[in-house]
Amino acid sequence: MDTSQAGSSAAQPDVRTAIGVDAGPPLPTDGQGRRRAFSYHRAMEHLVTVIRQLSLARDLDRVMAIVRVAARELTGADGATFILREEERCYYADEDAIGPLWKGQRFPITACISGWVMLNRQTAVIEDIYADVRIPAHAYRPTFVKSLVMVPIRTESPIGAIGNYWAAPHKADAHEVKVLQALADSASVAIENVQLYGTLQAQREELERANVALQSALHARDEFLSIASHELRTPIAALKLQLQLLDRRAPPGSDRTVPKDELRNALDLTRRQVDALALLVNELLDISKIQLGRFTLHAEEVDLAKLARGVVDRFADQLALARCPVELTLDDGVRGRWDHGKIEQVVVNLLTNAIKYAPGAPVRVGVTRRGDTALLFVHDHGDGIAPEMHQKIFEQFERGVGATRASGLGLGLYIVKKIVDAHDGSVRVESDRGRGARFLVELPLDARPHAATNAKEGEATYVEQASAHR
Amino acid sequence: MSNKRVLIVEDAADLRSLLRQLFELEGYHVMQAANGREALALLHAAAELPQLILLDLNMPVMDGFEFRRAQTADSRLADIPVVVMTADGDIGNKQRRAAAADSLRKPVEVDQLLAVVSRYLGQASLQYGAR
Repeated sequence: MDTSQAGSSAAQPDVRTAIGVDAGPPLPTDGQGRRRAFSYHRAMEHLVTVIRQLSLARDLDRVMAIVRVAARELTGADGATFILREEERCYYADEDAIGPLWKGQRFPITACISGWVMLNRQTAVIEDIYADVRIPAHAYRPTFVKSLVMVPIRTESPIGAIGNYWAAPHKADAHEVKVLQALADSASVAIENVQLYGTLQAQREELERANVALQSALHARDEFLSIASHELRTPIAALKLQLQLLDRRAPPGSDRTVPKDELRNALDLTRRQVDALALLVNELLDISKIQLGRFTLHAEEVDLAKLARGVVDRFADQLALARCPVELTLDDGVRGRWDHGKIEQVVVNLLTNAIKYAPGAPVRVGVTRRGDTALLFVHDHGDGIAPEMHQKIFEQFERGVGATRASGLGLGLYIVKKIVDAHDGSVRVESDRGRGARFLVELPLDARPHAATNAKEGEATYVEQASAHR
Repeated sequence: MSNKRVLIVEDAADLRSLLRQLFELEGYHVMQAANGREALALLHAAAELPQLILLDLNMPVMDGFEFRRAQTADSRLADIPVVVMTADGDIGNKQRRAAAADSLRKPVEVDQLLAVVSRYLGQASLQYGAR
C-alpha cells in the first residue's frame, strides 16, 4: 500500500535507496539535474506502466520515445540512448540526456561499447569510462559522460542496445542493471510486435485492395447479367405476345382463322425477333470469347461495298420501322483480306446503333478507299455524342447516355473496336451534341488479322482460308 | 367508336405494334409513342386524352422516369394513371421511383395485362370488349 507523499519521500532519499525497499511512488524529478535516488521497488512499479505503454506502441518511433524516457527515469541516470543495430554498424537512433550525446550518428560495431554489448550478448557496467579499453575515449570527450551501463535488446541475437549515462562517477548496482535489462526485454517484445503489426497492416491493406478489385469486378458482372437478362427478355416479350395474340385471333377449338396478311406480318415479326435474339446470344458468346482470349478470325477476300449493302438490305425492315432512310455511298473495288463475318458484325453494330439512337432521321453508310486503307463510315443524325464520351463509348458496358435511356448490352461498340483492332485497323467517332454521330472505321487492305484479346493472355489464333468470296 | 383510350409508350417497335394490335382487338382506341418525348408531344396535341398510359421505363431520347416528371408537372396530364412496364428486376422499386399506379413485368401475360388495364378503365372495358 502506498502511503507516503512524494514530497516526504524526497526528504530521506539516501536511506530508502540504500535499502531499496521503498513502497512509495517514483521520486519527483530533480530540476537541478542532480542524481535522483534509485528505488528498485518503485522502479519495478514504474516499469509495469512502461510495459503497458509499450504494448500499445504501433511504430518504432513510439517504442524509442517511450524507452529513452523510461531508461532515464527508471535509474535516475543523466542520459539514455537507444541504439539500433544496422548490420556492421551501430545507429544511435534516439536519446534523452542533460547534454548532447550521439543522436543520428553511426559507429562501426567493433568500435563502440554498444557494438561490444551486441556482439557479446551481455551487459556492460563501466564506472570509469576512460579506464576501459572498450570505450573510444575521443567520442566521449565532448560529452558529460563519466559512467555508463549498456544493455543489449534481445539477448540471443541482439537487435539494439539501451545505454544509461551518468555525469558523476557511478557504479550501477545489480538492481539498476536488472531494471534496465527488463526494460530492454520489454522493448524487444514491443519491437517484434511493431514489426508483426506492420506486417499485418500491410497484409490487411493488400487484402482490402484485393477486396475492392473483386467487389468492382463482381459489380460489373452483376450489372452485365442484369443488362443481358433485360435485353434477352425484350425479344422474348415480343415473341410471347405475338403467340398470345395469334391465339386470341384463332383460339384453339374455334374455326376462326388469321387473315393471310396478318399471318405474314406475324411471321416477319417473329423472324426479326428471333434474329435479334440470335444476335444477342452471338454478342454474348463473342464477349466471353474476347474475355477468354479466343476470338478466332478467318481471313478471306472481302468486297466491303458488297458486304455493307448486304447488311443494309437485311436491316431494311428495322430501318423502315425506325423511320431511318438509308443513303448509300459505296465505292466499288474496295477489297481486302478480312474476316467476313466479323466485319459484317461491325457494320451491323454500327447500323443498329444508329437505329437505336437516331430514329426518325436519315442514316448514311459509306465505303471508300484511301491508298492502302479501306474506309467505312456510318453517319446518323441523332442527338450526337458529347466529346468527353468519344473514347469511353468503345469501352465495355459503356454508353453515351444513362442506363435507362438505352437498350442493348453496352457491348456493341466495344466489340466493334475489338474486331477492328484485330484487323490492325482503327475506329473513332466524330460527333457533337445535337449534330449526329459519324463512326469511321479504317481497315488496312492487306491486314493480317490476329486474335483479339483483352490485353495480356490469349493465344493468337489465325486461320487463313483459301476461299475467296462467301 | 370506342371511348376507351390508352397510350402505349414503348421504344421496341415490334412490341409496340403488338400491344397496339392487342388493345385494338379488345376495342380500345390506341395512341402510341416510341419514347417519352414523342409521348409528351402526342399528349400536348391530343384533343382527347387517354384514360391510361402504358409506359416502358428504359427508352432512348427520354426514358420513363423523365416522362413521369414532365407528366406530373403538367396539370392537364398529371392525373392520367400510368402502368409501367419493365424487363428489369426490382420492379416494385422502379414502380415507386416512377410514382406509377401499377407495374407489369416483361414478358407480360396478356390476361394479366388486360386485367390491369381494365381495372383503370373501369368495368366498361370488359362489357364493350370485342370478344
